[in-house]
Amino acid sequence: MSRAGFTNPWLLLPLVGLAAGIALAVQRARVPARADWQAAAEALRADLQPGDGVTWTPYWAGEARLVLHDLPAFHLPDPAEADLARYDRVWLMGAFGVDADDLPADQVASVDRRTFGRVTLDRVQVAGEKVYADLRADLEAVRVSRVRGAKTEACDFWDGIGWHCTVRRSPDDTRRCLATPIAQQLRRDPRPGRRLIEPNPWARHCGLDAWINVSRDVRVIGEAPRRCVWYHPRAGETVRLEWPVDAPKAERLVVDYGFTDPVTVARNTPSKVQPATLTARRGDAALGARVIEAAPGWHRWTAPLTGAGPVVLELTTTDHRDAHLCIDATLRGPR
Amino acid sequence: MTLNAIHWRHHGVGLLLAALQLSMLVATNDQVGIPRDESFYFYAADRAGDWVLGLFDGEVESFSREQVDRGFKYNHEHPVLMKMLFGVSHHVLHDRLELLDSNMLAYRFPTMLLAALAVWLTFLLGRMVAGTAAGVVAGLALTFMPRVFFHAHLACFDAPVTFMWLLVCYTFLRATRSRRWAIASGVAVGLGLATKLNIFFVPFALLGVAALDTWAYKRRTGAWKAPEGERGPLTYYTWVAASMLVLGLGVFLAHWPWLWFDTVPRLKAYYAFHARHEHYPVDYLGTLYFAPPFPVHFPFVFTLFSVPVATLALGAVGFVEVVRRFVRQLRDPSDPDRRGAEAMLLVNALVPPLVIALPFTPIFGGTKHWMPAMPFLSVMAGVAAVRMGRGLWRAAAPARQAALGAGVAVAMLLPAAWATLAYGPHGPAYYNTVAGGPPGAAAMRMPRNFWGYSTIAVLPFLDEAVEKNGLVFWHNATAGSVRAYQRDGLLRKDIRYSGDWTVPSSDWGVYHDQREKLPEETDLWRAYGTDWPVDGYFLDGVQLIGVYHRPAPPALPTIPPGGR
Repeated sequence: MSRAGFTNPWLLLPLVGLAAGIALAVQRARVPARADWQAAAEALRADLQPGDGVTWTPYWAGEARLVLHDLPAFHLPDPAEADLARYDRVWLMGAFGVDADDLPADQVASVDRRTFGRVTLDRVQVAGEKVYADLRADLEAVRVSRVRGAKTEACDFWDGIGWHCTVRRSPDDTRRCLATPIAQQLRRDPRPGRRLIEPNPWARHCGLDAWINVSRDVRVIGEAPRRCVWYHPRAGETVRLEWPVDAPKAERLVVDYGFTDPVTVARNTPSKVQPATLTARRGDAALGARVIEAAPGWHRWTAPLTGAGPVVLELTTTDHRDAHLCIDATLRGPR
Repeated sequence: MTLNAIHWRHHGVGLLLAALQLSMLVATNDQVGIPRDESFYFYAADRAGDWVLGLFDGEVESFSREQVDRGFKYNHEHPVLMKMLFGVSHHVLHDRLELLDSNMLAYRFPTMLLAALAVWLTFLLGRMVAGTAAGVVAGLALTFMPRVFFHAHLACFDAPVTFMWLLVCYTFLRATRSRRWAIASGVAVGLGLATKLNIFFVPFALLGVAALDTWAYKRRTGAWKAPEGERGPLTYYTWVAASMLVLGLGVFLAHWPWLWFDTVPRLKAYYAFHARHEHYPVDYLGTLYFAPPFPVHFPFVFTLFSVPVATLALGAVGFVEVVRRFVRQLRDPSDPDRRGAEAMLLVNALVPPLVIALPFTPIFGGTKHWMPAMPFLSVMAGVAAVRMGRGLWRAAAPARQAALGAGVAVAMLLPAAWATLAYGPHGPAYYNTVAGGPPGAAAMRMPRNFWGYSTIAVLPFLDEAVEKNGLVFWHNATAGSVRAYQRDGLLRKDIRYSGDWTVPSSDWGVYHDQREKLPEETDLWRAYGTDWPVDGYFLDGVQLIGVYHRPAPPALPTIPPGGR
């Protein structure tokens, strides 16, 4: 190659190849090892306190999930939209250049950062408002009922995660069924092919209705998993939740809500979901009402908290086909 | 300068490259899992293969409607050439001759062979257009494409149809000056149609090439037809067209016994299935698409992100070079052979992605649907390598320029070769450095899984961890694929398949990361009472598959105050 070759534009091509090779090496060098996540988890475990939450970012760095067992961990699909009000401190394990700096500034009082290989561990002191009561956490204490005209039916069977109105077997039988290992609940299909089946759909849930209940849940709404309370309305009825709260510092009711994506996002068939109406009161004080539109997305409704006694939420609809509603209700106030 | 001739030694070089591809594919077979469709094709292959083998059994009335229906009713939405080959290969290489231990490999061997032959044809095409050095670069560029490498394993139709597309084009190119090759081009179209529907588009693409070439001839000579005693493009293309129509359709109809009965209704059903194909949801740049219109840029951006950077750079330069040569040929038509070849390269590099880019095309979602363009992109990379040699070593002899250019190009392809071996078994999750690799693609919300194939990566863990007769929910992986793993000793035989949509009936569950399937992962969390997997497979830290375990038989629920 001549000296003039150094200004030869054809040199660009091998340089692109070289740059791509270097970029590949740099890219690989940013990938955390599983041991890095484990080391970060061990470190935070040693310093964990009540009121702490644990999470990781970016959300797709799924290897972090392996180290979250037995930790008060939560999902953080998008750091910029984080809601940290439930926690006093949040431990954020970060990689690929994403860390606590990507959280909303108004929720971060201070950050203490350590590094474990290619994982950063940020201890975030949370600022901003605080959750004083959480419907999902308090669900065992909530009274659930269905009201049709003058008739009120108590939904008082607790299956371990939620309240059921309809129990096809006796409560004791149902409880025993729920505690039976899965393999023993199934019977073998006599046809060749070794498929296992249940006798009927009711048996799968030990005689409990899989849809009509009020339970702790996690559903995909607004393209992200949401920890919420399954709250399926019934046409012609009011589904009532009576939530005893002891939160003197709480100033407002916050309800995040949405119908699940599979029933609202248009696929091959149009959605059948119809609007529902959620009302909230406390004692004699009406907190407000919200029409929950049959639209995709995770929405927020905020109402000032007045009155005294339990917070009562009531849900009605004219058509409950595919009414896969999930809500996350909290009472919040200044920290 | 006309197209370069092909001699036996060139076939030798091409076949060496093909052998490299074949050996890599065979060596990595048990790293590549079985996607849903492939498990269906295994089943269909056994039926089609039995029918073929029945032809040699005097007691079987192979041509009876009963036997035809038995052989071909299942999965009759696709033609059967490859299914016959998969089935015969399995029966002969595995069952009868016991040459291959693995059932999976025996089914897949015909695909691998055709994928290797695609490398051979790519080399030949590169050799014809720009010389041996270009051919070598072209062959290697095709070999070292991680996504092509992945699909080149599967007993499916995408790698075979890529070969067939190339075969049609190669025979077409030869047929532009040979009547014998015109016959071959018709047979090639028939074999292509017998492989997969995509081939339907090739004759139309080549019609454009033929029209352009014929028009250029008219412009040069002033006449459409050649003088008496000579043959011009119109004559050759007429033969090719007749051959493609007659032999192409003939071979297609002859190969598929299913169409021998109720021909018209069954042809209509075949057409209707593909014309009204269901849409596969695809996450693309942060939007989950469920129905067309799909963004027109989808196949082009996806190609930009999923072909190794060096191949892209060489291919792009080669594309420009081929366009430049083609335009020059139009202005100064001294070499009609070359003009046809260059037009053919350009058209076939563009038509497969363009078909997918059309707003009314059903959403299929994968790069495999425009994979037939990849050999042509590879040839352009070869063209660029030679041109680069000429640009860098101006004083050298042409042969030395080509060799040096190819040497540099091969060095540029080394990261692609590494990426093919490192990422190829998980090809659908491979993204190049333009995208930022698998992590960058995940950040942009690009898809990273493909219908259950990645199960294979967690089989060793499940083999170790699942209790005897344990019930596993396999998500996107079918019962057929689980049985295939068990037959090949990749999974314990006592581990059970709980069925589709049966999370509550399982104690172990896998989840294949596919955006539209996220509600099925939350089904696992709800049923098992935990959001956190116990194992999984992670490519550069990005989860492709998670394994969940129900912690223990649930305890008797306690009764809260006021409950019963």
